[in-house]
Amino acid sequence: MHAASSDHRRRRTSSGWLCKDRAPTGIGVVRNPDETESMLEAHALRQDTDLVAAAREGSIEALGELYRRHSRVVHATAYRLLGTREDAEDVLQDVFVGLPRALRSYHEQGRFEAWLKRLAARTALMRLRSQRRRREDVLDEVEPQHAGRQEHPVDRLAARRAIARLPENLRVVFVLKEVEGYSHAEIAGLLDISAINSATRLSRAWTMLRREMK
Amino acid sequence: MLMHPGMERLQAFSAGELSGEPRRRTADHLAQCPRCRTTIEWLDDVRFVAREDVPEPAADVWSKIAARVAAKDAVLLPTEGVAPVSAGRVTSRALRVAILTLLLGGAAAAAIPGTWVRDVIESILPGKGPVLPAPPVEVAEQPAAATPPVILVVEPAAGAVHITLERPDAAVRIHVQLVDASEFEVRAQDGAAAATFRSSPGRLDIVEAGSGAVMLAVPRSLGRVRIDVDGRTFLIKERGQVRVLAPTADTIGTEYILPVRGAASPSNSQ
Repeated sequence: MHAASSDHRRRRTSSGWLCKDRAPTGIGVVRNPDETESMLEAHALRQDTDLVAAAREGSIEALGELYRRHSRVVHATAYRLLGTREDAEDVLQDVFVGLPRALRSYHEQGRFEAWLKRLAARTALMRLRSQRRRREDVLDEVEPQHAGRQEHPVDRLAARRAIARLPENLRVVFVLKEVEGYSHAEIAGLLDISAINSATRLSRAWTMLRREMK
Repeated sequence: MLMHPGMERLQAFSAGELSGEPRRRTADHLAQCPRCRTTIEWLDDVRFVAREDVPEPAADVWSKIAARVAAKDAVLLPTEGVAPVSAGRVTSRALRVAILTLLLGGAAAAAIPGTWVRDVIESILPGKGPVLPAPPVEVAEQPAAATPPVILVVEPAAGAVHITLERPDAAVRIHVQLVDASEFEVRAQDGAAAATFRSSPGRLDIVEAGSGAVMLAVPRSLGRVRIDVDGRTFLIKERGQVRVLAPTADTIGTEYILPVRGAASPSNSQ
């Protein structure tokens, strides 16, 4: 794990207390924001923005660092939409191989990782459209141990199977809305449908899940 | 006879998408209806499962990427429309309708002497009259600046992060949310933003957080997380397992709301 600090997320309180782990030895109690600023300058880490600029120019090292920081998120998005590890890794590869060129369209609007997730989602959706897919049952690959709600645990395996069995057009909306956090307006843009259609598909997905898991 | 909200309404409620009167009516119904409360819990639990960890990519993916880049493998990614969609974005069709309405309205008004539209049009056309003066700008009185929130990133030490709260206010709430992100982020707002923050590798001590909220965004990939309040462990995350040890915790999907003291009412903060 590593930390990536971003200038736009540094904040000061009115009392001036601010701290940030930047150096291996830590920085202890921070009372003076000016002192913090000088420390941050002394221990400057590469920002995503710096890496993006370098990757855009063709730096393989910068691309590698971006991969190290964000590959998991890209892979997770692709996996949830496509359902198989093989397809998700193909999308992961395509996203990072094509990223230097794609970064010409990134103008530092919003967080880089959010932009990259959208790119991953669109790439995964493009893959869905372009080929017939055989859904694998990969439910045994992950053995999550979290019990969810302690008082009323849902049958995790039944839930995952039910989600995997949703018709593709419903499952994609379900994943984009309930897992990836897109709004219906954003889903409409991604899938070239109306926002109302997106909401209807989500409602149908939930109804099917309810029926499947009874 | 008790009328039950439909699945769509319950789903919107559990996702925190209802507001105002619809939210109030649904909340009132849930207070009386165990069946619908069970449905809400089921919705939250299924969302939780859907958001759980997925398999990690194979270790050799990067080497394949590097090889393809070296071979100048060209991949065109679908970047069209990847820019964030703002809430206020106007569709092209709506914009055309708006412009057309404005033009028609303007054309009708321009036919009437003395109207402001006619005055503007006359000012634009050469030799037709003076330009209208700009209206005076009213500057609203600025409200007193609130304490800005504190936003911090905590770098783990040996894959672990330890957050402690010392002498917090009884009204502060700790929100812990599992996220698909690569950074452990701490946000303190309202009274909590006035706390003293002490850091060391993999650790953040928040001393005397006032009433408000401390929000912890925990990357799912982070191996170990521990949250202590006044020496008492509230939450532990190790590998894929989260154990909530605080007695009055509430969970909404992958978010855990931990009141510091007392039985604070649960809130749907999604």
